[in-house]
Amino acid sequence: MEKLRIEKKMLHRVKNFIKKFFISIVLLFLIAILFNCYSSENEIVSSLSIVSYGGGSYQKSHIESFLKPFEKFTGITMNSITWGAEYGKLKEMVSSGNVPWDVVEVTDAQFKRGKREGLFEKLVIYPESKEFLPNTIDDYGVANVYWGTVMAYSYKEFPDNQPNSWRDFWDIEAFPGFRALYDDPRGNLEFALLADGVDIDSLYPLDVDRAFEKLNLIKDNIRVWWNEGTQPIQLLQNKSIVMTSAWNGRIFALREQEKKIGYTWFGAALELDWWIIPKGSNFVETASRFITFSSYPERMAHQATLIGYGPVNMEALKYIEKDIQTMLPTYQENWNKSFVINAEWWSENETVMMKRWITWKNK
Amino acid sequence: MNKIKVILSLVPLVLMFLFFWVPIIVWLQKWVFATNTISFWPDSSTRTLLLNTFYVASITSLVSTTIAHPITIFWWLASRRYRTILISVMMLPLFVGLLARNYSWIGMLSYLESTNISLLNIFSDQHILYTNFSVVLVMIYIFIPFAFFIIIQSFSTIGFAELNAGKTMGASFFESLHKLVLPRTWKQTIISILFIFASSFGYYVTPRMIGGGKNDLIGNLIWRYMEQGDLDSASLSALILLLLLVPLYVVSFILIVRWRRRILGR
Repeated sequence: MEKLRIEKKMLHRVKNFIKKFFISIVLLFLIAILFNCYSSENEIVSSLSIVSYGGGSYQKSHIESFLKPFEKFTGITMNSITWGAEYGKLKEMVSSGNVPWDVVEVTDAQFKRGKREGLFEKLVIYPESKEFLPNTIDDYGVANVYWGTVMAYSYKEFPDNQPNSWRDFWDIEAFPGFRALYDDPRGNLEFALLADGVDIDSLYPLDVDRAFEKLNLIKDNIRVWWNEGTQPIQLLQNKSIVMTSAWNGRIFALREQEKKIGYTWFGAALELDWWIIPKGSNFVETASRFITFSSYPERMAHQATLIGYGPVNMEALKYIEKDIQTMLPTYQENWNKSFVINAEWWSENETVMMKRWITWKNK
Repeated sequence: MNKIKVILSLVPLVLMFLFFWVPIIVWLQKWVFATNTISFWPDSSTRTLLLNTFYVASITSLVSTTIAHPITIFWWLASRRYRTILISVMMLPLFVGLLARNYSWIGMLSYLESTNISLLNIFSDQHILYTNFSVVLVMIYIFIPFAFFIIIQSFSTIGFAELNAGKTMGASFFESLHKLVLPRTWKQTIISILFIFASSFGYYVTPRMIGGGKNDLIGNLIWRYMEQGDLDSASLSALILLLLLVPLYVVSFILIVRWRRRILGR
């Protein structure tokens, strides 16, 4: 009898606990919804989250050139976050309505795709477009820099005869040793076609079958498919490879410390990076102000001196020393040797190409 | 008391249903009624990666469990003070982040290659880093502590009576260990193998960093699909993983039940 009474009491307590637990979960949920509804642009902006693509010295250039000065100018705390341009992450964030990021840097292909899919907010304030390169200001974003994927090599391995083109990259006999390439079909298909003799002005639409056939010839000599910006430089420094594709800004950032790495602009792939505001962001006006601030020529010039990427605001060149200008992708001599990645083509074909790339890489 | 047990056991079941089975049911329903075709049969890239993943996960689980056994036996035979020290030593790697551990292996293997140590002559091109071998090596290193802490649970319940009994019967130490002690640890050994197999099956950080992009596992493929925003393909690949692992666990459950009947007689 006593045992039954104790059991009933315990059962009652357990039921009460579970009831209170679920009621508290529901209450917390309601509070979260109310908080979200109440937060708006009318609130004072205390902090802004800026997301850079790739981290490392590039993120540092954003912090030094844009975030810190903007924080000093406005008093708003600026948070710098890095991401690996995972489009799916941005898409999920926007579709869930939970957008903790205020300004995000995306690639050109992602910008085209995101605009099509309605992932971005319209800007409220725009920079004045007098000296901007063509098609670098849009209702949904402003371009930041042109950056290049160049061919880099070790001076020590090739002291007399340096490789100078993607044909040399594919020439294992003349330039023996392991190579590395970025783990993405974007850029690599173009490099393969250039190595196969396709004219730089006739790359698009890409002959994908031909590109993969050419890549088959070099596959066994690719030691690493790198995925972090600092990796190709580290691989060259620790002699794991002799040649690689690399982002020109990473080599630029090391130019004072490391003179053992050479690179060429012949056949370099140039791409734009864009600042956008994800749909659902809480501070569209302030984010637009930040983007406009980052487009000032002095700010872009400061960034170029740190990272070596070409500013899209050509007025910035007034503030950049000549010897640094010659290292930028937008410098006329470098521009003439390079090609611009066709973002439209890639925004439509990226998913299919990525599947084919994964299949090919793991055969 | 039975009602209390039923109610308390309902809570984890409800949570599991909400956060595990509901998303799978939603996805399956979407696949059944989809207007565009989503092929359930894995394509060639998925099949290749599944095979590689199975191979890597199998070797990792078997080798790390095997290596953990002598360490556990050493712990079992050690005095109380050394037992505490050994447990602390095994726990230390778990306090260091996974990224840091992976980077240290990259540094170490790069250094070994650059100094051309003769041990590397066993590899034809003297390269360990960015190979399948290096991925397996690092994953074994990561999972040895887990295997240790699983197997230790069986050893902690075994006294020295069996060893002493064997000794009085004229059996050597190793004979007693093999015939009397180790059979009683069979359950934890299977659990260790299964736990490490399931954990390593979904791994993608170590293969990405140590494998050089040439030795991807199925987790890398799922990550790629998520990166592209191709959630259908990512979900499908994850579902295939689940469907492969569930029969494995059914088989292991049968093995454990048979072990109990054979060893414990119930």
